[in-house]
Amino acid sequence: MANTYTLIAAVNVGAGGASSIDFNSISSSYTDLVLSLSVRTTQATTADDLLMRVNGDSTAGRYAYKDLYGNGSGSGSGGSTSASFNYVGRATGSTATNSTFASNQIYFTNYAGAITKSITFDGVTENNASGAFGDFLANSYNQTTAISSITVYPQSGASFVQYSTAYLYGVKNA
Amino acid sequence: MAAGSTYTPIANYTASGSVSSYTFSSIPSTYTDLVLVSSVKAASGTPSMYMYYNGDATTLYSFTGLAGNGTAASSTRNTNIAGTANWVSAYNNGVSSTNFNSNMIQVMNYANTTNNKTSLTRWTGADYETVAIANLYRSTNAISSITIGLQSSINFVAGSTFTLYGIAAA
Repeated sequence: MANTYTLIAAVNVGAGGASSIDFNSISSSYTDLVLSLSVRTTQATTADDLLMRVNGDSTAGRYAYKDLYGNGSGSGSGGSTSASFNYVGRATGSTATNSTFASNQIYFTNYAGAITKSITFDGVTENNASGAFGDFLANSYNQTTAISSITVYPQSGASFVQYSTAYLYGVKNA
Repeated sequence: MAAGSTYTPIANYTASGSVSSYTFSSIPSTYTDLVLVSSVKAASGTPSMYMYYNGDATTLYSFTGLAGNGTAASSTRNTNIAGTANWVSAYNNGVSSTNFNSNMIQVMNYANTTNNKTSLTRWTGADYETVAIANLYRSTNAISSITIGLQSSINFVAGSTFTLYGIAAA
């Protein structure tokens, strides 16, 4: 069998929506993790900010991020050196073009190693008007424990809508 | 039709702490694309990481980079540069002893003999910048080796890891 991303778990949001997307009890047997998201929320906006925490940790100062973004009319950069969450781009919101979901990928390098965690994000929203974004992000989590759980949620407090999906893959280096 | 394989490990290397560069050699030509994933920290200073192919460090390289430092976006371009100045990262040295930076380099269509070779890099250092770089090697030779190293011959910290994967289209 060909080597490939190994699917660890999948989330398919149902008719009732979901306030967060959660992966728990993640095995430490892989080298890296890849989380692929196709997401839209109920927030009345075209692009709804997404946050992430690992290991259920909401401790202030354990997360940092640097964002590089463009929105079709300009570009910029933002971030935080001391936060209680990682910033992982955006989902499309309820006022974006119908049936349009953001495409995001989060790569966790050496997620189980005894080092602080360096996490790479690439993602885009789209809207047949203004208010779409492309984001490149550098995230970090400054604890050396292995990542065993991941939670992604809208900063707005809105819910992910039905047909939002999330797939967590493991990648092995041998 | 069988699906192609993705991320098949070709080789991996963990730095011992006493080397400033490493070469993946004898890369098979049987894949479509290559992906080099690394977790890197420098032993001192804030060096960038370079990459060149096939032992060729001549001035056949160029790159365009895009960066965000949390305050502003910026872009950099260098042309006709040597392989040892063909940057695939920003500064590699996190603020703590356990803070390693992530790097993913994708080399598309690496084994063809008709095209110059391009690659896309994503470098992550949340205490410094998020960076995307497009690199060009003006040679149509198939890539059979990749050399990566730190600027000014600074050593990789022990525990820095590098994995080369192959992706087959079918």
